[in-house]
Amino acid sequence: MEKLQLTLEQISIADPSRHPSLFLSGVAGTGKSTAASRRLLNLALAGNPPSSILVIVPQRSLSTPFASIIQDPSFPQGSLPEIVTFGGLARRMISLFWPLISASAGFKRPHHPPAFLTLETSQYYMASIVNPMIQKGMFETVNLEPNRLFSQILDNLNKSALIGMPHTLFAKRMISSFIGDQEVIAPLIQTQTAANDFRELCFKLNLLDFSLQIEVFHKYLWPSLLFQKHLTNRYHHLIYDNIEEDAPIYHDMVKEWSPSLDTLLLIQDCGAGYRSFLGADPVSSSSLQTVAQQALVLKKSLISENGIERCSFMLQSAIHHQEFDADPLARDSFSIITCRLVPETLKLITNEIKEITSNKGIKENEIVVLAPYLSDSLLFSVIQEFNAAGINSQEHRPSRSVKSDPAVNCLITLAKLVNPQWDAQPSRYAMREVFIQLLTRGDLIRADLLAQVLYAPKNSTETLASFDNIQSDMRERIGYSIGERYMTLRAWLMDILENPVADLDVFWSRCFGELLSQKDMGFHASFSASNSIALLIESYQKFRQVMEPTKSILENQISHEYINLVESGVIASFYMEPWKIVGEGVLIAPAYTYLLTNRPVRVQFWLDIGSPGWWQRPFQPLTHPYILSRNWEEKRPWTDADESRVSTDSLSRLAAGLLQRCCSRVYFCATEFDERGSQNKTGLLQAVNTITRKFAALDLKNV
Amino acid sequence: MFRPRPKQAEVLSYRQGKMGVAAVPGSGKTFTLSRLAADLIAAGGLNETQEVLIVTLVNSAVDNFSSRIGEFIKERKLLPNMGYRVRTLHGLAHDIVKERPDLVGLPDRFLIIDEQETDRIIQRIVQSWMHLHPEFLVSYSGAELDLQSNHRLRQSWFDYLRNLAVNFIRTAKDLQLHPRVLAEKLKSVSFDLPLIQMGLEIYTEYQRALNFRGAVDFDDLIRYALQALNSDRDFLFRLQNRWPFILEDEAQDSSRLQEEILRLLAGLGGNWVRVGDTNQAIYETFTTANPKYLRAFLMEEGVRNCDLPNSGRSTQTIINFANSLIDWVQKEHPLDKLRSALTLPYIRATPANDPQPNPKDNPLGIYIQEQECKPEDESHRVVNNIQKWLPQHMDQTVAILVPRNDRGAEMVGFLKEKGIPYIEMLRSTSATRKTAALLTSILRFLSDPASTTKLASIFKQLYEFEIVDQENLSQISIGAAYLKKIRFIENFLYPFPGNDHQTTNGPIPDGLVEIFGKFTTLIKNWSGATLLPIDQLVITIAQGIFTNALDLALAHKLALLLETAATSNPSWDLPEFALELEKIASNERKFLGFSDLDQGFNPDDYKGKVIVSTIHKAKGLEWDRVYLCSVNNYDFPSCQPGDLIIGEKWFVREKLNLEAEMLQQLNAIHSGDDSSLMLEEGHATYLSRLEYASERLRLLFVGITRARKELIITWNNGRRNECRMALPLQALLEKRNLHSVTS
Repeated sequence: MEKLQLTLEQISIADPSRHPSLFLSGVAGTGKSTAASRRLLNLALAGNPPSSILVIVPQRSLSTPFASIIQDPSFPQGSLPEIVTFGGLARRMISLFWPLISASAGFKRPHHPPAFLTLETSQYYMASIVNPMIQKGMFETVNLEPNRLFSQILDNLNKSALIGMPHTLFAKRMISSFIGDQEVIAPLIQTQTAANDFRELCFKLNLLDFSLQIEVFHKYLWPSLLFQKHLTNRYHHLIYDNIEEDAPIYHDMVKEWSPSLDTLLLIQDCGAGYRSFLGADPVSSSSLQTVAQQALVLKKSLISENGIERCSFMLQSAIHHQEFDADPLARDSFSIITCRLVPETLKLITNEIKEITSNKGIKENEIVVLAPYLSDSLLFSVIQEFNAAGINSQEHRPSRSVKSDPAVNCLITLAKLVNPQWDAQPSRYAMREVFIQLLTRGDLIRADLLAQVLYAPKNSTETLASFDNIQSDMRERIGYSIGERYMTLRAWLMDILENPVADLDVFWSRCFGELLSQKDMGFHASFSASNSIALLIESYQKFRQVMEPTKSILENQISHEYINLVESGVIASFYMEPWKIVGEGVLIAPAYTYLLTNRPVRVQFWLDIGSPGWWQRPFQPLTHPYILSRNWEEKRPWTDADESRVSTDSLSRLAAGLLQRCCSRVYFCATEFDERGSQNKTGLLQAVNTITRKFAALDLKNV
Repeated sequence: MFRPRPKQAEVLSYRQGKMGVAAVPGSGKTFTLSRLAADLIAAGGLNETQEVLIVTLVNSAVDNFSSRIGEFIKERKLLPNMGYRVRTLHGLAHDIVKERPDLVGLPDRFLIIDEQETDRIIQRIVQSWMHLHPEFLVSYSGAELDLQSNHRLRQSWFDYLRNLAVNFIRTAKDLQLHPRVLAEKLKSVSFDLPLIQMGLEIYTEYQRALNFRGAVDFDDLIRYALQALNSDRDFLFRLQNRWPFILEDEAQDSSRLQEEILRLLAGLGGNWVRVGDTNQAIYETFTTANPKYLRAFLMEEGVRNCDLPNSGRSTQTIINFANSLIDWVQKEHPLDKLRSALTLPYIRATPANDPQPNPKDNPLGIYIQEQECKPEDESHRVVNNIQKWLPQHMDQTVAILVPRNDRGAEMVGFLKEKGIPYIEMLRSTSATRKTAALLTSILRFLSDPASTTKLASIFKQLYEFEIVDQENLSQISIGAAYLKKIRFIENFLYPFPGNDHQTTNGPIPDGLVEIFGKFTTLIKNWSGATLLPIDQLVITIAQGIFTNALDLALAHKLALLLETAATSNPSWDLPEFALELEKIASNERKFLGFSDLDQGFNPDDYKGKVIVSTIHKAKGLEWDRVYLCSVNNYDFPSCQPGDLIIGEKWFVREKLNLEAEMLQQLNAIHSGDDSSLMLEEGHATYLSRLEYASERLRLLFVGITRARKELIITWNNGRRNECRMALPLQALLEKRNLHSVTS
């Protein structure tokens, strides 16, 4: 690994003997994580057993600097430090100490092992509680699809746990601050009933959804002397990065833990706290300053050039409606692209990227295209446009909708094909999608011909006919190389039909490894497809792990049930975070996701700056990220003034965070009509407009 | 250079407070109002977060205002579209709700269902309601009628109940009455109200159906907007601050809720300009709009009143004719209660040297058919007359205006028969159909991509949609024919290396190489997108072909509909989705409130063709020659003996207008006015007859004022020979004859 040159401040931070107990803060790009990762190395080099070092990050994508340093040849051989999220630590410890706490926590089968639920499996069990309630006419006055209803109830449970509030109180808290339509009160109460019933079910079946994991960990495990002894014996050094992205209950535990640690480094990204929907609380994290003996603030950006910093200052002033002057030194650090429609914007961006990569020495992976939301259609259009211009690109999305992922659909179709006992033969169109992805390289016509001529869903003996048996003119039309690939696919599937594979994950792993990823097949060297398939396999495995011990479904039906749940939308998205961005090229990502990837770039394009996505929080009628936080006083009405304040703060944090990750230039792209044909003019566009007006006035003055 | 008339200058001098402007037809109010908006922006009093809010009636006006103000803003080198916002009421309500959906229990991606879906839901509910409540029909049917054996009668009742249910729900929502609240109120009424009971039961089921879909209808949107503003004062203050000026166009068609929303947004002592013409208030029958709100506003203390009486639209003869209708109504209408149906000011011609001078006068420019005839004869005569007139006047615009869709459909039939070119602006919305039809064709092709016929069909439709550049329009047929005959389409779209499809298919015709290049790029893009979910596929296709905001919005709406369909039918594939779109494309229905008019219909683009439209849809438009048809006492009743009223059905006992009776009771329950609940049956029917006649007088006025140079008014004696010439027309004819005799 190439050694980074550290600043004097960073060297000092990285030295645990100089700062054994340090609270380090600073905006993004000031080198905090780099210094922390070097501290990790130094701790190990100083002879501390690496296994006594614990690194906590709020989410896996933020662990990259630490993971990299561990892989560095200079890192001492032997045991490894642990890099975990608090959630991961809780799960591991609950498993370890289960016999100690299961009965006292209230689980009805304390001698049976626990089953940890994922968001998907939690939704599955929540559906079993809520669906009967819907049938009884509950939740009638709220307009919400069932899947969203399930996830909002789970959200309430999680948020309660993350602030250390009893799960039975969230509805009361929300109702006491709610000033909107009184018709919404009844569903809020019903939400509480559903949550309580769900919790009962969890106790009955030894299920631990995320909220229960946190509660059990915090309420039953953490106070246990045995556990405390284990903790203090095991870990002597703690590095806790991005504490502002974590929840108050974690901060509480660190406060209690810190006196027993030999060294402590707490790192706070000033102005961040982007994961407020997952309980992030920068106010609470700031309070950790009191537990460290020293505090340091890093101020100098190691990333952004002067112009960008000035641009950021103007943007912040404009967002907060503060007076400022147009700064001529910032002029070259930003551009504004205005277009009427999305495709025009994409064309202009493509041309600009072509220009700066060809003539200005900027590499493709030094560019990011950011949007508040990244719909499938937008992503597809951007990639198409880039492909046509010969620009490489890579996408990064935090959650993937199962149904909209073509690679996942392909694997599900193949699973159906080799499981005729499910009586769920794929349609011709589903097979066509398989062929277009795997065999014909995007050629829809030949994929269609293959599906028409060779696929016979009703033929029980030979569902996929042999290419050799069709008429020669059709073989000519389809082409022999496609025919050859088809025959490879067919042979592999026939083999599986003759020698069935019991479990889906095994089938999919083999299918991908032995067939789909092979040369000439469509998923060969496709990072995106392999990532999706890995997520699919992981999702299924977690589903099975939960279903098997609870016997909720007969063992031989788990695979089929999983497919049914995916198709009915109960399993709607994969929420797992990819470790890191794979592939090369211009990065396309939603703005908030990008912020948590720790990947500064030279140039950023911000799409559709008028979109409410830059400004508003996603509204969910049955949950509330701010009322269900510790910083909110119960019974205080949540009014629009609060809403405006948090919107402005979020936008300000987002804009600052993005520009702190931008070296040289940002392009603000305003589109008159979004893909829905509607005009949006929210805060970010207004702020950019203010800057434009200031520069127009300055130009006029100069003339 | 814009040179305002003195009266316009008076309006433009506005800088603050409340102002009401009475504008006659053709007085240039759109122009004046957009200029006023631009002036207010240019005055520099707005900060970056503030906007002049312009609220108008239809989407076409939104475009019109936006482009006019936008041009001005552009000159100032500012970001386009900033400093103002033009919205229809629904658009404004959507903006408000979208900003704080949590206040009304909505998620941020709520679905708005269109009128057809609303109708479909209501139909289903009414059907089962009728089945469960046979006693209702018995109690309200004429005694002599046999409900058991008369199928037509049951169908008529079904249609009528559907209509009653729609209006009940609309009014209940306008009154902010949720089914639960209404049920509570009804409990305190000590006697039976079968009409209200029926409405409430259907309304309750309907709301349940909407919630199940996670959807809201257009009326909910308005109701929720008001609710959101009322429930959070800080939200209201924020919006008041954002929109320090509100300019409202077509204010005569304001509903109670619209007025309430705008009044809240303007705030006490706020800046609110309302422009309208109470003589053109013609939407009461279909909506909860009422000109009384504008009239009351004009009388309010502190409201400055202006008028725009000058119109350069019509000849002096036509202006005089319209003014004499106002005169007759005000002074001579036999029914006192109808004398306020039309009000002053009179229309005045533009002053000398005005940039919009009136057409040269033609004293013979008005023809009124005097002798009676059957409906089909009336249509024949009109079409025959046009057949003679049109060839000599291909540089002029002409319209047939009818009071009802079915009359228009008959006219269209005759025009078609005679081979006369026409454009239909009736119930159907061809723009919607065209968009849906194009998307249908594309989906069909993508589901069967080996079909050259389908490929050729998309090619043709794309050209017709003006997506590919217009220049080589003549080559559509040549290109389509070539594509249709292609052998092995895969070689055309995805040739193997070294394989030129032209060796099999012959050379591509001259001038088509580049066009085919663009076309195949599009097709290949769409092919790749077939792997996306259906809604995303439709959005991707739309992004590639539509450049009009309304088309995009429409495509987005269609995409959402298909997404909903996909959720309910997980096994659906492209052919099923294409079929669903096809239904939309072929259905004659209003969809999302978009129509040809919404697309910015300009009559001047259709010289040499006959526009067939309802008078309602013709509002805001003008033609050189106008045929105003069916002006009899059925379509334009005057509450005279022998007049037939559409709302009074033959099968209802005592010809009660059940809608009027029901809504009167609903209003009484809402206001807690028990005495109105006690009123005897028939009272509301009578009042509604007056209201209807009054609106029809204004409809006649609107029809007359669409004509620039020539106006031909015809009428018929009805299917059963029961109708006569409309009373106001008789009066105007007599006046005119008298005038010709004396002069």
